Amino acid sequence: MDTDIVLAEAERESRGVSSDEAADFVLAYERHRAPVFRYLRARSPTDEDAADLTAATFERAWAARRSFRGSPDQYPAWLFAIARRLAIDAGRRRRPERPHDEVPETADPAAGPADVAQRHEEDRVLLARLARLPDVQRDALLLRYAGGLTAGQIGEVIGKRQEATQKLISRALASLKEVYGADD
Amino acid sequence: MQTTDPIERRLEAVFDRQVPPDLGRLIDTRVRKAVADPSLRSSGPASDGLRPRIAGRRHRLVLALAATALLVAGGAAIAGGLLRGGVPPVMPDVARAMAGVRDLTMAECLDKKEVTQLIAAALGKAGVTDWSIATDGPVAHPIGEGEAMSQHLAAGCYVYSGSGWDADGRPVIYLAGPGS
Repeated sequence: MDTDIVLAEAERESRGVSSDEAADFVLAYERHRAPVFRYLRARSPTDEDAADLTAATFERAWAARRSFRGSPDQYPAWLFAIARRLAIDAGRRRRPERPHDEVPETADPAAGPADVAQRHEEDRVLLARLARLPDVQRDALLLRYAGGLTAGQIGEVIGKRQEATQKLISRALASLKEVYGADD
Repeated sequence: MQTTDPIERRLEAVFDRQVPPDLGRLIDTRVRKAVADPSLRSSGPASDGLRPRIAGRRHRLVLALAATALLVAGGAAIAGGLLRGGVPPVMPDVARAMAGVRDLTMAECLDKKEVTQLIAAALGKAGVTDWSIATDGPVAHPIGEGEAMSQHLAAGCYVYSGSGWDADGRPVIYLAGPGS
């Protein structure tokens, strides 16, 4: 076993990819795959489109991995910046954009048909209202709640200071609450 | 991110529900090919920012190969066929089962027996019955969680810290605990 590992490392390093580098990337992929997908799914019409963009994001991140010079805390922002650029490009290619024509069915086995239908409708309404926000507000909310980024990280992605980003998120939430007002 | 705001809770929930259960199947193969593609290797210094904290050269290698195995299906090798002898096809199942265990062991302070029981339950659910536990393996953590993990271990908690396999191809699950 040890011999095989050492041989594998030597072979890999001879090809220019260190074990550490591959392991680092796979750990990053494992950690960020779902958040990146959630963000891209919210900007894509179908699961397949979002999966395609998610794969493309990590392909680019791997290819450009040595251009990343930040701290670990900055890596999510770097990764989501790639995802965002890809989403913007894809959106331009398929104008007019019609995300969320299909809201995926829940997989909750405990939920009955009526629960599923109600939740499906609530999801559809929320996503439709989110889609009507100004682009920058919508994107900030997607990065926050689909991508799980902090205000500081979102600021790095969209090119704003953290304070301004926090205000942007607050305004976007307030806009959504105005729509929902009576419901809550 | 925990919130009591109903709108924020709705947002978090709606996006969570959009992740298909077969997400890995949709994406893993392409990423695996990218990692193996020689044309995607760039020059310049490797980033230290993504480097997990790993103890020991042998363990570093085991972790690298174990992590790589997350992208492997049915024993096919990645990164230019570097995994000699193939990878036990059970590893993707182990990886999936262990993803939840890692989160749980970081969220709660569990002793070694509790973590072992948790792992046994997760692996059993995944249909993996032939495995072993080791505490002398790699100590790696998700990016950005190094400090949290150090504090967790210092507080006497045990966490799932990685997986590999022994010479017979059986999964080895590594735990980290106080003193790791």
